[in-house]
Amino acid sequence: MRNKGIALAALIIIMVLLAIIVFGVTLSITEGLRFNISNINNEKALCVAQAGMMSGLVDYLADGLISPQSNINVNPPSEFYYSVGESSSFMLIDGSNVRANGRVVNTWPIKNFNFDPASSIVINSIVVEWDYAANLVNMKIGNNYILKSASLSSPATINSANCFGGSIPLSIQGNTTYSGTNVQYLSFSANIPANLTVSLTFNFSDGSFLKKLLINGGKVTNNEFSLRATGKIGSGSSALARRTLTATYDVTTNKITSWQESTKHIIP
Amino acid sequence: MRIPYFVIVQLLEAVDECHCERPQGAKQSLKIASSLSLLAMTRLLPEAELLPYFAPGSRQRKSFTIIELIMVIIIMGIVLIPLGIMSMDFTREIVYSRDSGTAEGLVKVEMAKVNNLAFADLTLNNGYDNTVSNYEGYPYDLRRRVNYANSPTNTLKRVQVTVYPAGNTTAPLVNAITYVANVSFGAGAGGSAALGLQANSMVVSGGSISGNNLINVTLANSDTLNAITITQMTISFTGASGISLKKVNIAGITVFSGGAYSGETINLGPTFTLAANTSYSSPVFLEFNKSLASVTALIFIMSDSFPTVNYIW
Repeated sequence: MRNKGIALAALIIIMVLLAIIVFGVTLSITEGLRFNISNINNEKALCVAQAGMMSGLVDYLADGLISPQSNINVNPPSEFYYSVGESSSFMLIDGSNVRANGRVVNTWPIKNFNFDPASSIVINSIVVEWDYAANLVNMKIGNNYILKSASLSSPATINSANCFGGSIPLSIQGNTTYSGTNVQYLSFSANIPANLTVSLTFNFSDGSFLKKLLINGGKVTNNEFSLRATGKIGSGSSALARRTLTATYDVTTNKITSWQESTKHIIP
Repeated sequence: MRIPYFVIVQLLEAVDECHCERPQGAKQSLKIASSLSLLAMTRLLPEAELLPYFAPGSRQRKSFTIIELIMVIIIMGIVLIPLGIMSMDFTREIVYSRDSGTAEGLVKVEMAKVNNLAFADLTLNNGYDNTVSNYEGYPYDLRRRVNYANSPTNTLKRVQVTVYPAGNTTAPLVNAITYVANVSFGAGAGGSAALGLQANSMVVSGGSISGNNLINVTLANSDTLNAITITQMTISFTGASGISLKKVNIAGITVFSGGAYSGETINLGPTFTLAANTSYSSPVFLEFNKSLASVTALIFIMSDSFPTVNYIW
């Protein structure tokens, strides 16, 4: 008689099941470990980003200027930070003494506080927004007309196509300050109301932008600049983790007025 | 003494297999031998449970063959040995994963503490190096080290936080580094009302060049409450060689007479006050001694010392 063995088939089934279980368990353990290691790298990257931020602030506090910092290794071989680095990070617009009266908004000094005079920032366009029924007639930056005898409604975009006398793109050298009552000003076609709000958005040639609330509901704004720092864990071009912090620093009060994480990393 | 039932079954199975594959004489011999063996086994192993195997109607047996059994043992051996090794690795990984996860949390706690310390805090002094055992009640040790990061300025401190398994400082689980500076968080300086200056209330419009003169420049004060006063003017201009400003007349009043060259600032005497919310129909009139080509800048300076914007014609 012929006996039918079932052990091999059963074994194969058991082994398949065992393999699935083992694979599942392996995957679970491996992914769990990878998740934990990734978390650790992310936490370390955030700490390093803070290092970049603090380093940038200390740099500014030393002389009112900032040098871009790249590939600063805080813990060899694989923990780096990058701080500032974009045009928008070097532009300081002081809204703390802005004057708004008659038809004019003036007394808002601007500064490129990059330590290197050769490091210019280039403004490709400016968007001016205001909240009352009037047109923008004139605008000056660095005592030069950007807009003259125009009649633009809000929001007004001033670029190379409609600027005065080819003034845009406008280049501002590093370590340069434009200050004075009317060195920068906006003038409108009608008298300014008491609760005026005006904002300026500067778009730079490197793709970064800076939006500044110049006057808010008739009140002056801050004299502050923004700072960005990215922490990277990894070596060479490979990165295991990147975290970026942005902060604003009020020059008048010497305080950090905002501190948040950003997904826009500095990747040189 | 007990013997596993399946062993006996397999022995019998082996005998049965032999029956099928050998000549009849040999089969008989084997059958006798196996019967004797079985008898011996039952005597030797009286507790072996053989009866079910020989129960009536049990000829349709389904059981393991010895080959299958050997294959099972071999395959299980092949599979189980690596599995055993892997399971040990997994156990270590699970332990490491648990440790690293907890250590990461402890680093976060420590960094939060560090960020809330004053820059001059004793535990942030240069050279500070302290290890806390069983940090926050967990079986891990945490070490904090502080050094200046920008000597000799010493305005930036490097803080290094390392977490170890308790009592084992040779195998750090997490090592994180950050910098702290003497800066604080707080509100900005914005929020006060924008200050109104006299110059901002001054509205200048119109105007044209005619021969030796700049004419029809209209002045207005847009401030509805306060008067504004012009005390000085700075003027730059181009024209015939040796040209100079001879006279300034505002709203029918001569406020300057004499001579002033391009780029000079002149004092008005008398100063001219524009009443609140008033536009002056008698315009500004500037007379030059020679033919005027252009006014490249005219700035009115008010009694609060702030100038207006530049006006050009």
